[in-house]
Amino acid sequence: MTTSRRAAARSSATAWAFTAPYALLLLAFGVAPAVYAIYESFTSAKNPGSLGLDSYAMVLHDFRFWPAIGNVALFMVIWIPVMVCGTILLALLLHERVGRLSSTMRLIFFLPGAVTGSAAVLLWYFMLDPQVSPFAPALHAMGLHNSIDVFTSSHLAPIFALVAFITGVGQWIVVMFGALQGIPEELIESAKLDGAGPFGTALLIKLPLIRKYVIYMMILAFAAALQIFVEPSLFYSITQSGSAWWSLNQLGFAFAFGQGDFAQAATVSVILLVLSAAAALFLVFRTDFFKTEVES
Amino acid sequence: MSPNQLSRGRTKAAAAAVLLAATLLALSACSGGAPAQTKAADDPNATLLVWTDATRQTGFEAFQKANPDVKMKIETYDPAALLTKIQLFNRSGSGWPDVVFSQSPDDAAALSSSLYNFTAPLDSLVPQDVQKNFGTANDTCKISGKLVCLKNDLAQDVLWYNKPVMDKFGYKLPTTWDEYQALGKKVAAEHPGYIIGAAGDVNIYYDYLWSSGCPLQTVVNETEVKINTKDPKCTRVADMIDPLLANGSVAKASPFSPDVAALGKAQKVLMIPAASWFGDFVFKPAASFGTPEGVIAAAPMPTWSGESTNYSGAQGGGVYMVSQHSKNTAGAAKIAQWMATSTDYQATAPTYPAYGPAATAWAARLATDKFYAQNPFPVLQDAAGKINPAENPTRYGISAVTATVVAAITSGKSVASSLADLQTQLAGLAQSTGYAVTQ
Repeated sequence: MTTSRRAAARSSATAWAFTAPYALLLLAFGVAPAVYAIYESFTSAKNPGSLGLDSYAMVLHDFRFWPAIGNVALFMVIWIPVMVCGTILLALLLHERVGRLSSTMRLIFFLPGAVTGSAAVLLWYFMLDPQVSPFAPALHAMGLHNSIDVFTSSHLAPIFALVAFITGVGQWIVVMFGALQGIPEELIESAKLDGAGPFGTALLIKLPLIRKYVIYMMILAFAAALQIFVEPSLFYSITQSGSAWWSLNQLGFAFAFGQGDFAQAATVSVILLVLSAAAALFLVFRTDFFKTEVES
Repeated sequence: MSPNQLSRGRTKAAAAAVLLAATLLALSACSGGAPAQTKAADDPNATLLVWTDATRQTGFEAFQKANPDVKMKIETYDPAALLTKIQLFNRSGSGWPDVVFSQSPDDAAALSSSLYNFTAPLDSLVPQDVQKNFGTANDTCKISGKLVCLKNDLAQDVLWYNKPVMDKFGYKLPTTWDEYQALGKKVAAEHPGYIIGAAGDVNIYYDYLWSSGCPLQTVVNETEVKINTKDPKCTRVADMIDPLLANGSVAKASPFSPDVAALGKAQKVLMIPAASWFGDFVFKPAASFGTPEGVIAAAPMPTWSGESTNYSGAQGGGVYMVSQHSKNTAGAAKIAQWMATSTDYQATAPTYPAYGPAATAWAARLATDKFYAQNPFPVLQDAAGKINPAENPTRYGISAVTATVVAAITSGKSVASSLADLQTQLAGLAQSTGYAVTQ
């Protein structure tokens, strides 16, 4: 009895030792700022010292809030399906014939992601501006002759989705490819023996087996899309298209540093936190994402 | 491990997490206090931190050379982050620069407000006769009865034009905006591809709406502004410019865009109402329009119908501010004053000096500059006194013009259609920065 308890205590201590560095950093730079933001969101810049829902009322009635929700929603509606379907499609294609071509292509898909976000935005600005783009003839053929034809405000969400897809897809292909590699060879063999073609194998065998990774990807993609900031703020400062409060994160930045209202900025961050937590919880509890073999 | 032990372990971990979070919260709340309001007496030996843009850096270095005893540190900073940084310093209670140069006069309104509490009043720190020599140039630095900044330069508008091409086409310079519109129609019909302005930028406010006196930043007092885009002084701008945007004689792009730069290089910018610094900063540099010598000249701004003065707007006009947190306010004010008024420095400065005597010294440089087809100084000097006083620096920036009017222009809609949106956004911004809005 005592030995087993001691062994349990030792294994628990080992577990703590392994998770402690991460847990401490998460508390210091994730949880604590979030708790502080929640506190700050109940304060009010107009009535310092009072706690209440003033900042929430002001943010919800701000003329910038609902258009920003609309912009971000449009971006998410375009980007998330393209990202999820695109990644799965490319990963399944690369997995169909594993070989030199497949690994070369994986590297090529990964490369744009190696460029940091802000640099990628600048790169895309040059590629999309018909005056300077190396693809100018293609842009002209599409009826886009100068920068204002391209960067008009109604094009912004699709442009951001395009940039985010190209820069983000490579990393997720690597993850999905890894997941596909984890599928036992015998399973695919027996599917083939049962007469499943490449489409059947991909859709009925491989896809269901990697669905947890797909859900994981959707949670992270949702959170990332909700927080879009670099693309709209850089495109705004270069092309004057969009605004300094196109996205929710930009609006929070404008509250904090444009008008010095940290309470309303914190309110926007809490709204972002609630939305992405709600989406994550929905995906976790409405799917079997967190069920493990050990528990079941 | 039994399920029971597991859940007890989880509870403990959760309790520890809450405790740690609470401790961190308390710590961060302690350090985030408001800056102390009391201030010790000046220390003339305290090192002064100067924040400047690259253009003004040479000036500060010249001051250091002329005054080797003054302990100072010159740093360039990102102008877009100025308000951000001051906010953060206010939270941390240290780190403020002692002297700041900003290209945006609206920064003075924000930084002098109770929200930022940054600028030191200069009324008693700058000698009266020096203040007098600025004429009206420092008027926009007087906020709530206090002098909160010193103006470096004026960014008054003139009508820059391409003299040889105007002569070749046989066009007369427009003296009213009605004539300007008529010229635009003529240019579109006779020489399509040439432009007489570019409005796809916030400069449509500086050059057109401001010169007309459209009330967008009309300060009544510290807590009240007038914003009314239905005012005839706003709608007459839309009526004038919409047909020209439609026929292409005024570009829908920004004057700083590659599209307009290409037109500039091809000498297809026939004229453009723009700030005093456009000659040296936009027409001259090879990286921009790269216009050859003896081509560009300046004409007076046209007059809006019903006005007796050909008012100008202003695109910029940098300011020097001194921090009220400085340990050496007098020393900091001395640097700001030298930068704004030294004839040695201002005569070589690239922009039109706000300080009267310095402007006269600056004129000598323009008179011998072969770049201009005619010396633009007399026109610039005349416009310097005609910046429409309807607009003043405000705590809200004018960026709502970009999100409404400029967005309409670039997507092919009319300026007239965007004025209602502009009203909503600008009034919302004004209210969010503590102004009551009257129409």
